[in-house]
Amino acid sequence: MARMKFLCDADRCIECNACVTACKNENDVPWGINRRRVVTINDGKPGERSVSMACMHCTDAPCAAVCPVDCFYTTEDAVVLHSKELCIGCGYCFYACPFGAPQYPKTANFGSRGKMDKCTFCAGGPEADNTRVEFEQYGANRLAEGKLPLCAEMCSTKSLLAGDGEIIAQIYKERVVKRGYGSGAWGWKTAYKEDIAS
Amino acid sequence: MNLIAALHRLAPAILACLLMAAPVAAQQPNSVNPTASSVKEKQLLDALKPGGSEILSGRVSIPDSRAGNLIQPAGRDFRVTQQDTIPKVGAYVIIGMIAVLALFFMFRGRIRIEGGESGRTIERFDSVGRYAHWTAATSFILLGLTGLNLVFGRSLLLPMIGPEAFASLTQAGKFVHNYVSFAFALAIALMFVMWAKDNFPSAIDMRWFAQGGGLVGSNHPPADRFNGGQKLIFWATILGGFALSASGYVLMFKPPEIAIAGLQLATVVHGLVGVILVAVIIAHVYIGTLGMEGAFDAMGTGRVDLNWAKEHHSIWVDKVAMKRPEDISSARAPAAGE
Amino acid sequence: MKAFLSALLTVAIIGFGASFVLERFQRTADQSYAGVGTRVEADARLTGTPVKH
Repeated sequence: MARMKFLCDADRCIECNACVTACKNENDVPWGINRRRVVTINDGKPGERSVSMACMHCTDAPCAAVCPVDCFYTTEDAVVLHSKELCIGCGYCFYACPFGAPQYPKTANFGSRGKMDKCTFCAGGPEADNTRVEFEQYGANRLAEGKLPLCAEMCSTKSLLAGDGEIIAQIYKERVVKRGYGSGAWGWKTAYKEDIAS
Repeated sequence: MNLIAALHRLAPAILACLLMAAPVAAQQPNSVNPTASSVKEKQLLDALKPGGSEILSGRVSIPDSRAGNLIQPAGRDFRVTQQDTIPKVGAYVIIGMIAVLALFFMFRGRIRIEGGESGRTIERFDSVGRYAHWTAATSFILLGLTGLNLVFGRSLLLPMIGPEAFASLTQAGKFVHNYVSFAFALAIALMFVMWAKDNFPSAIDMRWFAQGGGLVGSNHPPADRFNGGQKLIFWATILGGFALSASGYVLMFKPPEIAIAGLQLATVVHGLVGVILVAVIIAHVYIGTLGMEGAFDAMGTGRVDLNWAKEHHSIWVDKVAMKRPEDISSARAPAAGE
Repeated sequence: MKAFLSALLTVAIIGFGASFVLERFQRTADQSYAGVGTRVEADARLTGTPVKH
């Protein structure tokens, strides 16, 4: 089985936010919940770079480690998913997540923040694949259909790559060699404890 | 019209671009690195203090400005404290406290009223005081059990009752924990207002501690209304309760001024103070019930036996006898119940 | 006993009272971050409209 990863080539990202829009539409995510977002570092300064960031589906995920009800699980494809049946909305995963991925449907007080929501790598949830129940709770399950996450699939500059970690790392390495530069695979050191030499 | 006007205005610029582009492209050597000045994740991460609370953040175009946090390595430290430090500290202090109390009970046994019951009673806590105490006590038991469930439930209870039952229980526990907290905070405030004046440390407490508080040996060092040990419990409850309330309400309401590092800190403070206060209260419950004859009456009926009071709070008894002799029942009168 | 029972009652009343008050002021994420042109759904769930499969 593949080890699924995201890789954002910050030298190609043009901050068009198409990945954000694609994610919202494909998974029918309401306003105020951002499974994916584009962050611009050094905005307006020389060397500005934009990075599209979502759940990185970490190796040995911190969210899963701190969850008091153990609602997270890792699929065969190394995608980190969680069960909204079990989630109690305590917020610990949000504190532990290095990437700010967990989102909550209610905001005023944590007493009833509702079930946590995050990027599923377009792999749905614990419900049966591509059922209506699964869609309404977790969004699309493109992986079960043999497709990759839509954010990366429709990235106009092919900055955002999603798929087997070794393959996308290879693609990125080739790019770096060909063009002679690369600002690194953002988040990989934190999420997978490895880096792509650039 | 507008479009044509715009094209007219842009035409010279477009022309200039076309004229300039060709020679520039020709001149540019292949080795130019357009990212020479670009930000690199590694440099940014290296610039952060190891173990610090800094965050790589930038600008986002969505209204939630906190979404601008790109990477917060501090989450890893939070994970270690949450998964490792708090349960370990909790297990050590709580199991340690129970072990110490068990040993104490084995060697010292129940501390008896040496003079036996006199049959005369003295009022120790009025009904408002007992009301505040039991409000704090019942809410603390609920808060403590639901809180301990968050710390130890996953490793102890979850394997026993299964994920669905455990999740429902913990969800209910979270609601109880959040909403009962208000009663606890109010009771803590009430107890502080009522009893702080009797709980300031004094020289008598030093002597009380020097003599082991009467816990070891059989002598009873003199004490005012509250002895040194009770003052320690009082301030542990007040300060611990304040720390728990403050950190708890930060977590509950998440004021937008407090960044994620503050929320992580609040979670850790809440967990550590919580398990320590549970251990302190276990000792308090022991000495107030099983550990000492006659002590429970203080919070049960509010009236304690005069001999108990003379042994443990001699100065206080003298003061009451001077100022409010009516608080001491005359000989052999039936203890005024509720 | 009276003090203990009234304490129990207080804990219950404050607990339920707080839950009603706080739930009254609970907001959904889409209301919290509403801006120009935001479509706030009356009953916001994680996903918007149900889809047919």
